[in-house]
Amino acid sequence: MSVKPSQKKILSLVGHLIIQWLLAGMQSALWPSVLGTPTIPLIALTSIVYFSIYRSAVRSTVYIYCLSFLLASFSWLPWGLVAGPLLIVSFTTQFLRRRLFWNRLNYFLLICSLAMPFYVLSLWGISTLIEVNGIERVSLLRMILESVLILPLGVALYPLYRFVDELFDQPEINESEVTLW
Amino acid sequence: MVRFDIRKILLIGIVIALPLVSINLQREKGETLWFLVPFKVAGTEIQDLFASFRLMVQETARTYVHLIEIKKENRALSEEVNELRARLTDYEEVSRKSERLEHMLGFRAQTKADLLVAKIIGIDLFSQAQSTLRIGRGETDGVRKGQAVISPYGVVGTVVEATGNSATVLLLTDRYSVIDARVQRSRARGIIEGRSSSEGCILKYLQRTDDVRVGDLIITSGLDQIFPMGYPIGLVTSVSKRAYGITQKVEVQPIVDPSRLEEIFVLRDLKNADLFAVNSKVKIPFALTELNRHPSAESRPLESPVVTKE
Repeated sequence: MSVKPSQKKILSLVGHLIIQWLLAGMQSALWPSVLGTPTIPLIALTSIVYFSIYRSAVRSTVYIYCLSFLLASFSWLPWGLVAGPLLIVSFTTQFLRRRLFWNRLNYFLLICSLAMPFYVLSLWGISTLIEVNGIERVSLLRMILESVLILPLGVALYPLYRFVDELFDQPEINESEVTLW
Repeated sequence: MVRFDIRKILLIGIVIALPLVSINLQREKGETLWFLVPFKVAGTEIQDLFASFRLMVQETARTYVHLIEIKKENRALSEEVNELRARLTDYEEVSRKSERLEHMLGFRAQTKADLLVAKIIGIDLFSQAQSTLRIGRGETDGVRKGQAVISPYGVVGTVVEATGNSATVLLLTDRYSVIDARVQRSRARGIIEGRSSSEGCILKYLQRTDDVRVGDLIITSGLDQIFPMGYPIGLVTSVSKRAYGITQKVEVQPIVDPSRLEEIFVLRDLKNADLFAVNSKVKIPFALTELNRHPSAESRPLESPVVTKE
């Protein structure tokens, strides 16, 4: 049975969403018991960065919308506050990608590491601006820890994202084979 | 013709006869002949040497054999120790769980309130922005939005969302959480507002003249129609008054540490809620008696007994 390219794109999106669904469940239910609550980087951010780098703006926006609905189900945070910072991170990553890009894992990790504090600051900014009782302050130490913690997660998850892409769809940026360094 | 040399024969005869004669002499006297003594000594020495060597070899061989046995035994014992340690850990875990559940059951048995035990199944995915818990009980179990969530030691939060078989609990440390409260000692009234899980809460709208001190216990006032009156919330950690203004800033550390909780109670019916110890002559909230008796891992330690007459 032949699968149309548009169907492949949808299947790839669904595949990535299923992975994020499993990871979000693990992050909210298992991670706090094993490593404690103070430092939990948003694992889904690696996926946002991945889509922002290897997909078009339209496809990554559609993905973020779907993902934010999924992530909002794991939180009491309003949907807008879930989606807003993620979209800001995505657009900033795409802006950066157009100016500076090399197709390697270290680029992905660098963007993930930068995206983490940027995401926290975006969340804080939107919350302070829009919410009546916004987030009062942001922990710098926590931001640094999360930026560091997202690196091993990125190393572990990048091959998984590539695998899903190879399984259903090819990424739009088909440059040289991505190597470690 | 064969010629016999008498002297040679005699000499040979003497040589042969000497040992024979000496045998008889030794047997008779029981003493070593003087000329055999050096040989005996030398023999003894060499025997000793070889005997020592043999013993050393034997000992080494035995030690080696023992070592192999010891190694085997050590491996077996290590495995046994590991197994026992694992069992002990399991046992300790079961013991703690049992103790915790016993406390909870004790709490439920000693109060008349309609309490539903719920297991915590997860925390908020965006924990840096929202302090909530997900519990494994929902509408099918009678959990409704607005119900109080408590532990045997103090207030935990309120139910803000309930679905079929799960519910979301807004912790009292969340920035959206507000609870009507009183200072237990002076009865001064204010609103407990959450700040964050690390920063605790703040007691707002307390008059500048109201009597509040560091270490005071903050309890629920019962006026919000969510929590029963007099249930512990937290302890005052700092009080600051500005040079101007009509209120004072009071920081409160919640008694219950939500990150250590595993099970909680949902208060299903506030009207019949009586969280006071039944057998106590003076009406004391069960949580306070429990806190003074068994400071738990779920609760933060109290510096001094805080039980006072309600």
